[in-house]
Amino acid sequence: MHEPATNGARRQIADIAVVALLGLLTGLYLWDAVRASTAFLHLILVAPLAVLILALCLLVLVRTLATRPAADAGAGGAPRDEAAGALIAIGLFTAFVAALPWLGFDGATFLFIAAFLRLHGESSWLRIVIYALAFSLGLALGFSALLPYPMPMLLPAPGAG
Amino acid sequence: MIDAHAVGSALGMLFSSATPWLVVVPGLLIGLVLGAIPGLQISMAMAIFLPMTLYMDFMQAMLFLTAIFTGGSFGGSIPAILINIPGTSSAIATAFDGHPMARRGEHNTALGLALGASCAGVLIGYTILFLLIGPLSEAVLRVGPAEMIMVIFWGITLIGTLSAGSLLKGLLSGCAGLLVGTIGYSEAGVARGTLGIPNLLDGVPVIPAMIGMFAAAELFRLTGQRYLVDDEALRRVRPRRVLDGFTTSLGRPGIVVRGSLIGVFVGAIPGVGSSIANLVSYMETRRRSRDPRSFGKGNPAGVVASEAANSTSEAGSMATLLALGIPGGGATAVMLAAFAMHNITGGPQFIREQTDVVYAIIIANFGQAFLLIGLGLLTIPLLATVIKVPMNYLVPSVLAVVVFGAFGLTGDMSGPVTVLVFAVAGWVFGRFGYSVPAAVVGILLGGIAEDQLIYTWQISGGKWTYLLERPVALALVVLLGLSLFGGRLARILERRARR
Repeated sequence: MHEPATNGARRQIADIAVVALLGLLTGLYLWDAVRASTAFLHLILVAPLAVLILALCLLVLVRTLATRPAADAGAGGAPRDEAAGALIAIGLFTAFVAALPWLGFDGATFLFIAAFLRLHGESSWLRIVIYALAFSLGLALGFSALLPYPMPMLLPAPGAG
Repeated sequence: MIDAHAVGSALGMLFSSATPWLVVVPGLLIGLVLGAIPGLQISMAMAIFLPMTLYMDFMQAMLFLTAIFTGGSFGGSIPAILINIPGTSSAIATAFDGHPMARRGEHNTALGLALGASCAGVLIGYTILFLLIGPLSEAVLRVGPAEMIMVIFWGITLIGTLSAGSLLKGLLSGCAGLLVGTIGYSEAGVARGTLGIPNLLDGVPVIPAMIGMFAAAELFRLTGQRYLVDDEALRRVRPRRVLDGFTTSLGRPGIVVRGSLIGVFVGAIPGVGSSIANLVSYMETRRRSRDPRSFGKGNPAGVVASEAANSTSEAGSMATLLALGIPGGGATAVMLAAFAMHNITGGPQFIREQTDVVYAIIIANFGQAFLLIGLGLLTIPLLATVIKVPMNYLVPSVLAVVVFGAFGLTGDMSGPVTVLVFAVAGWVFGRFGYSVPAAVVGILLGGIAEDQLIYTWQISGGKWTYLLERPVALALVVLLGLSLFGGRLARILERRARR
């Protein structure tokens, strides 16, 4: 019975956390900029902008605290399932980017696409392997031919010495 | 105002043989396809193909590059409409109504609207350029740093008020974006906010950041869905509907002409024009609409307004390039490189001495607009098939393309890492009602804003009364105030009038 209210309270806490994080990062940036130099031209935009952001954060915070927690699910009206799915996708994407220097663009892309498909409802391993292989190789070979600088690759590019 | 002799000579250069036109169709196709791939910028496509222009004469090189530019300007609207990822910052406002239309299954109509408005915009923009290249270049010279800083603040305010859950969060997003845009070395030669990472000394890579924020907000959100459009019947690609959208856009001449005028004049402002013009046109169309609340929910007028302005801003940026030798953005910077490769320097002397070449470039763009109609109508059905791809295949594929594109932009891992960081930030922003477009425009313009503020300070000697001597800057201050408080003011006046 209490679940909707709990969700609303969770949303409010998440809202507060986001605005507090924005304020904190802005404060840290301002501190770093002032520490680096107090020259007027160095701070001409950064200082007033940071103060404005901190003021806006405060206003958003006050408004959030003054609003009664909504009794619906998820932040921004989005269902919590959507957040869970997005967090899985973010996790996979993070692993993909982190793996690029070690597995190369071809290998990391193959694994990323295969894992994504498997975790998002594709049941046929054959389809997963064929699509991930064709897409990752096509993309890696196409870009390595287009770009003027070398890309980290698991398989040697055609024509590479 | 028009040099008839030079026009005759230009027509002779263009139509005495088919040679200059041989590169136009390939250029348009390159722009269309690469512009439609999220992560590949028009400027990048032009840079990739720049070395090919070494084997062309100057006229052919310019036709080839402007064809990529024209094709790419429209191509960028395809991912904006279909997957809510604007291919360029000038297609941000296209996504506001184009994507909701696509989600309703009206993707064919939305793409047709964008094509019609784009082609009409190119035609109108280059007509204005043809008639007014001299006065326009003089007007651009009068735009100083004070005006540019006001345009930036106005643009950020506009987009913040348009696209966020609340005005406060919209402004907060834009300001946060501006602050991120200042990371790196300042004018005083001191680095800030780099966290000790050498790649950040030159600032955050803005295009990967833009791609990350847009890709995240939509693609991560879409992971739970099976298709972009739920109803299978609505997923069909119907060339007839594309054609209907195309003709509908031409049936709204008021929006197209207004958007084109905004596009050519705001787009002529170096560095900031193309990012802001589409927003100003969108905002103005919404303000004049009888039903402003329908904007952002799939109003076709929003797509027409944005596309008319962003395609015309190409002509505006060409004005500054041809008349002053100043590139307005990445794409015109590549064209400037082509100028240098052919030992040609843009500027007043170029216009005076090679008027026929200038007219030939302008007239060729009329031809490109008509060719784009045909090529667009032929290729849209193919490019729009993305709507039929299941989301579990589309999302990882687009994310992978984006990462490759980001690597292509920076040449090292800083591109993909920037995409990741801003992807997460974009998702958080979208989920908690902050404005992703405002933050992105802020990041794009933060560095320029700081430079312009410093120049204003130096020119004015620190006296803020200097603004009073700049009527255009003052007018922009008033517009900024109206954007912020206009709605509230109107409501107060209305209430008083009722009493």
